[in-house]
Amino acid sequence: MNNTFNINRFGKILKHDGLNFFPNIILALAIIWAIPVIVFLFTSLMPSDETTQLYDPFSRIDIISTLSTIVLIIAPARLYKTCNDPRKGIVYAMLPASTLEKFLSMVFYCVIVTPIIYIVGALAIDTILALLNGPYEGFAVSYYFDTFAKINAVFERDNITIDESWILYYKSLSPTFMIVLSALGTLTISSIFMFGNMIFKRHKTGKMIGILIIMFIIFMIVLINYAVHTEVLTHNIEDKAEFVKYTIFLIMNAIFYAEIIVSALMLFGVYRKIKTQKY
Amino acid sequence: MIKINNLDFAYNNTQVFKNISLEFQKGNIYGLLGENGVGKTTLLKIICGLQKPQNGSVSVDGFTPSKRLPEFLQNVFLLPEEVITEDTTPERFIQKIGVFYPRYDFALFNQLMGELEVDLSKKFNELSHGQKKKAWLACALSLQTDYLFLDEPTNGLDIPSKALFRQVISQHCSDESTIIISTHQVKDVENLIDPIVILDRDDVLLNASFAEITEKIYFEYGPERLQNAYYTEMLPGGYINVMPNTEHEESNVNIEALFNAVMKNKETIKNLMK
Amino acid sequence: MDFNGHKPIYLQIYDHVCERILSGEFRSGDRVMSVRELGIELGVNPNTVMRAFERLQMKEIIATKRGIGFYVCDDAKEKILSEQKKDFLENEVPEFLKKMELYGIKMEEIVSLQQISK
Repeated sequence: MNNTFNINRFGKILKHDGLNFFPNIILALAIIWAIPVIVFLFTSLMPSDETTQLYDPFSRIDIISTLSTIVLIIAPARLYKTCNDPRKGIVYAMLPASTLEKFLSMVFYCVIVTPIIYIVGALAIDTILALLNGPYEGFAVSYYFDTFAKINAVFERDNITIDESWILYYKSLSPTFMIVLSALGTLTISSIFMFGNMIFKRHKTGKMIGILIIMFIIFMIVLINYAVHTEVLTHNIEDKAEFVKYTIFLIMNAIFYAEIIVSALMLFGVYRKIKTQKY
Repeated sequence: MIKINNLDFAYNNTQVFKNISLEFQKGNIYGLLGENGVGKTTLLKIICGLQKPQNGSVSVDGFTPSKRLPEFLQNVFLLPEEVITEDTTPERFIQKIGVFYPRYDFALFNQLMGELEVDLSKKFNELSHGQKKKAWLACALSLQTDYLFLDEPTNGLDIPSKALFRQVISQHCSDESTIIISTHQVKDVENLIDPIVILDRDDVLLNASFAEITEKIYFEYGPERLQNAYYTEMLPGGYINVMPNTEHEESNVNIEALFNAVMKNKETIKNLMK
Repeated sequence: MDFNGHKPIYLQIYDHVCERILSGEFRSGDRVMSVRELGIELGVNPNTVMRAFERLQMKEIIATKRGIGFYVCDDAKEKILSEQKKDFLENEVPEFLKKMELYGIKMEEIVSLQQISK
């Protein structure tokens, strides 16, 4: 018998986790799905006058994206809450599947299934609301997967004039790169909270957010100190546009590699925890 | 077969086992006895791979439990003392986990739920404590694993349920299966457990079958206290004296008296039974 | 079945099976219930039942047949009775005689008691 990976057994653990999936997360998803509906109802029921705000698809996409991050953050603790519990986790720990199979199934549901179900649902709800004669104009679904249309539209909406070099710069970020970057972002956020779910016994999500905030503050202090010290900000930069472009490029790359490293570390931590967690 | 060799185990700074060695043979229902806090639950957890020993080796049919290999896990089940409250019916729960176990039998589950008189329509968290324990027992037995570990299984069961418990356990036992029942309620599992393992703080005092025990130890039921007894206790209508078996006579093991005799004469009986 | 404290359980199970043969519940040539079945019925460790069955086999009260399991031997009843008779004569009668002497009862009194009960 292959004790590392067996497709049959993997199917069983996928089914097992799948049966736990909806009962554990449906309430949280429903609440998050309801937010745009509440905004819609609230806006439609307000007395209609000049100030009635209309929501264009791009701002709605922003809301959906933000909410999808929240979904990613809460998913691990919703779906695998008890797996490291000293009492309740015993069943999970002793379930006859390999660590790799349990790990892959956990990644599959937290990183892939949850955001997809959320986004499909959110876009469907958005489409239904947009079909009604209300404050939602256009369909979010038409632009959701088109990053450049989104950027261009935002520029158009806000009357931002952009010169040729900017357009070229954005075009240089290839669609593939953007997709990889956003997928990687999803993986990073999810893996951080999967790890938090494995190491904390209670208030799993809250503690992890706390740690991230503290780390962010420390990072910013270090960065500002560094910037002040090296007088980067006080320098008179000749070509501001070039500088900004260069900085964006640098940050994009830094994020890209940081995300790869953080995801890898977090996922390895999750795997180790599944394998060695004591009960 | 479960083989434990020179096992050391400690929680942080509390030593639980110090260099213990122990074997559990197939086809038996072991009774794991010991005062509260001597590590009965910990021993079961180590055998299941939920805790890892600091030193020494544990082997279950050649598998190292702490590696948590599926081939090992599909043959063991642990029923913890404090039963877990799942927000689902026992039926749905067993269907969810049963597929992982090669000899899982859903018909047997239904039969056991009937025999143990558990309400099939209720969720775990809607069942009373005793009912919940019985529902978990039905789940555990229907998986038909070679190794089944029951931690204080009769805690919280009413008297008729305790009789039902003995019946379903003896029903489950086969030549291939090993059941270990940890308990301090000896009366509930009398006549069911054989051999008996008695744990003490970081030591094993006894691991012997009834046949081995009665060969060395004689349980004398009589009207008086005997001087050379390991232990004497008053029973209704006389005394029970736990004696060395010098006449090679057969007697009936009284587990409570045996346990007390062992606790009073740890080294003597440990050496006697070696 | 209630177990009492004095006799080893497997001997009590042995007696229990003998009683069921004497009462006619298990007849000669009949299949006896399996070790498992009896273990479940009594809520007793199957190994203990097995020990009782081994003794029953040794005393030729039951025997095994492949495919059938344990069945009651032809002269099981006679064997049980003769064993019980032997046990009675060897263990109970000496005790009885001892008590007669203690209470000063004469053999004639016992004989007359026996005639009255007839």
